Amino acid sequence: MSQIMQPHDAVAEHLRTLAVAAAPCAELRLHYADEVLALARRRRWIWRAAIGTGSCVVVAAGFAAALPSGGDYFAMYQPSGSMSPTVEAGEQVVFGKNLPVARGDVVAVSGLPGIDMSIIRRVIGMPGDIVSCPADESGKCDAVEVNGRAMSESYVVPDREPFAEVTVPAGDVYLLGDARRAAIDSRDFGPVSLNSVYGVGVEVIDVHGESRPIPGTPEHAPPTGQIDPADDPPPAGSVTGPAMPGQADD
Amino acid sequence: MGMNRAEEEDFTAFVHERGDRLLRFARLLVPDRAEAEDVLQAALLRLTRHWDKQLASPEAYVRTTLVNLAKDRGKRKHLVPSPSDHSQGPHPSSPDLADGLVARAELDHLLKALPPRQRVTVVLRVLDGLSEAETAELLGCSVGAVKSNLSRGLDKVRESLDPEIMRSAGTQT
Repeated sequence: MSQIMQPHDAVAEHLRTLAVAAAPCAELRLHYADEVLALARRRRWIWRAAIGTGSCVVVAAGFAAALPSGGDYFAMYQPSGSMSPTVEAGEQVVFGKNLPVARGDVVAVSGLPGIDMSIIRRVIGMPGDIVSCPADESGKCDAVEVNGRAMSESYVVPDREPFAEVTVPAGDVYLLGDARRAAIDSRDFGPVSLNSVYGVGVEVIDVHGESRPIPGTPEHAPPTGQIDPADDPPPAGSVTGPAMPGQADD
Repeated sequence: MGMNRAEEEDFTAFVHERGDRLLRFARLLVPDRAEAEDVLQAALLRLTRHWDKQLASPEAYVRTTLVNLAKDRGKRKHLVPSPSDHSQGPHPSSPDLADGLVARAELDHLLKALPPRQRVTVVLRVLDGLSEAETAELLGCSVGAVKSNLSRGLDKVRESLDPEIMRSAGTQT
């Protein structure tokens, strides 16, 4: 080992000894693989059914209501402040099911590891893009950079917390929430497979039922034909609830 | 999109062959068995979605996913499912296993003191034997951050170590 301080070497050695001794105690259940496969099948089915439910709380209630139906568009409630101010908690976004994903689009995503619900985020990086938020002299970051060019995002609540450069792998996209400070996004879970994107946002419907375009996205025609309705809105308490803590509200 | 039968069999064989090792790794990255099983399940589920792409190393993919889930678990707690009612692992039926459980308990205790990033760094550098550069790449941080996380992590472990163990572990200075 290199010249780490001696006591550190001793600590490291002790940890290694413990880890070797403890290893036999970690064994998987016999049919673990089958359990995972069964879960994967179930999730895939749910995904196909395009459950766009906004909140874990209503997953069960929404289950029956959200079976696949005919239209090319569907609506989904935004359960948290993570896309504020573009989409406020409690507003709906109308998504196209068959539109191509482009940089700047607001998309519906499901099947992220550890997140048992669909979420809405903005596509910042496409496959092959290099995304970063480099720190200036004061240690803050003023704008997200894509392929070395600073993005002008008038619609976001900036965070100014730098993050390291990421090259988006083929088949993946890099997603951020517009409420940069609060949102849980690709800074946390990394780039996301395009397979988990199942809707491209075309407009927002506010709480009075009025629609408006989504700022910062490529131009989209307004939805035509039938829009599959959103599941019930999340109960009032869950909107700012524990799932997305620490919302930036100014 | 789903897996066909042959793919499912391949996947099952992969989990049989590498599952214990991956669980052991997960077990070091997060504080308890239930959570280790949960993050491993999340990582394997994600793997099933990429299985048809014939990844060069599915094991590396799972390990990377585990590291990503573990390093942010503190500040993004809900990303990791809360512990469910998993059984608490095998019973100590043999003396070997009983020794192992004692070692596991102490290891858990020592690593519990570390915040997620320090913990992951210590595990990768010390227990997994990765280089500073490899660790930095996996964590998406600088080599400097790896050094400081390792050093602060080991300091914390030393603080919670029984002084006697330190002496018998042979500090020859």
